Amino acid sequence: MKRSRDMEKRSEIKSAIEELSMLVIVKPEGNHVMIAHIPTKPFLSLCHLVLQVLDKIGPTMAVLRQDVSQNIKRLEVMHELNPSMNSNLVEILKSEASKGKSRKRSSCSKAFLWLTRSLDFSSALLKSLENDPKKDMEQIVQECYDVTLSPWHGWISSAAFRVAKKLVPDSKTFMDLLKEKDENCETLKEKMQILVSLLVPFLEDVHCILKVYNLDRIKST
Amino acid sequence: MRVVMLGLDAAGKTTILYKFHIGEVLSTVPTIGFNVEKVQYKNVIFTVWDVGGQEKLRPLWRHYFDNTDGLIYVVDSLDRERIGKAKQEFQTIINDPFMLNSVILVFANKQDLRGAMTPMEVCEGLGLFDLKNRKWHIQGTCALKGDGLYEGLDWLASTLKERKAAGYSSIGTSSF
Repeated sequence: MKRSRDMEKRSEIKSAIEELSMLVIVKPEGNHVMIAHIPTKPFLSLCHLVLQVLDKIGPTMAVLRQDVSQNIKRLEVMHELNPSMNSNLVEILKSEASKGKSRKRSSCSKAFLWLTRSLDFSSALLKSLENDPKKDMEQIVQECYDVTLSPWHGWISSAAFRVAKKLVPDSKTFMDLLKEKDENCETLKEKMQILVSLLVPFLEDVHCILKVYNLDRIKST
Repeated sequence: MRVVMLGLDAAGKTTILYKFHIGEVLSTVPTIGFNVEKVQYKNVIFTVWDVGGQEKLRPLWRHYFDNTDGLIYVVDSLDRERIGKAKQEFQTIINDPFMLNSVILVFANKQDLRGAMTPMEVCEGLGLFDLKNRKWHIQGTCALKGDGLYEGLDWLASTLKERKAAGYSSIGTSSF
């Protein structure tokens, strides 16, 4: 009987841990952020999983979902143009910075920035749910939004979010959607805890890199 | 009962997990991340977390330590070259603040292969005799045949039951 990862039906949480297991070790050494390496493919796979989680929150996240989807697409296209050169996201940042393209509307640097912020939101959401699975989901989403995305959103994005959050499912429904078949709440919570504990240091490193390229304070309309 | 199963890559962790879980030997791939399954044995339900053992994944092991009742450490008894590395990783695990109260079961796996270290040699190789105030047990196993696996689980189940009766906490003392 053959068992391979491709054959298994794995939850988004478990898949994300797998992707992060490949990503988490690729950190900048000390302050040498310029030689950091963030592999493009695993990072985009992780972002795809965020999309799947956003889908489970429902239509409420349509705006954020569309944003994440477009940013993934932009980086995928860039990667496909030259897979060997663009296999490291930091090289893409470096290249755009040297050409003065980082802050252009359709830059890959901006796509990377907003994907990172979406991961910040997802991480905060999972952490909050893991801490208190019975907490009101609308409140959780609002609090996570306030901390991670709100500081960078202009009035258009904020208004869209205000409408959207009224449609969130309750936390039990959401947790049930995240579970694997026959999985109990405790195991799911443990997996969420592991995912968050891997995600937080990874995102801290990414933010350090974004800071070096002066991308960390960019706001949207 | 929450059990974490660790060991260097190719020690046989995933094979052991699925031998326990479905009683079959599966053809496995190197684990990236983890596998987790419930194993019921003698009225004890173990949730066994089998975590990838490749070198680049070992720094992630500590993320799985919280609330762990027992450690199953799997050693490839044929891999004499890396017994030093196996010891180093083992000592790091058992000295982690979150693992100080965990009971330790060592599986000296691949005993069916010629030239394999005996459980006693593995014991010395890991430095088990030097452990102070720790509950540990070593068991020679052959995951493919299932030899020794349930004897080890027997020890784990009875030891954890004793500890529960004595009111032990599974959370190691944390230094931060």
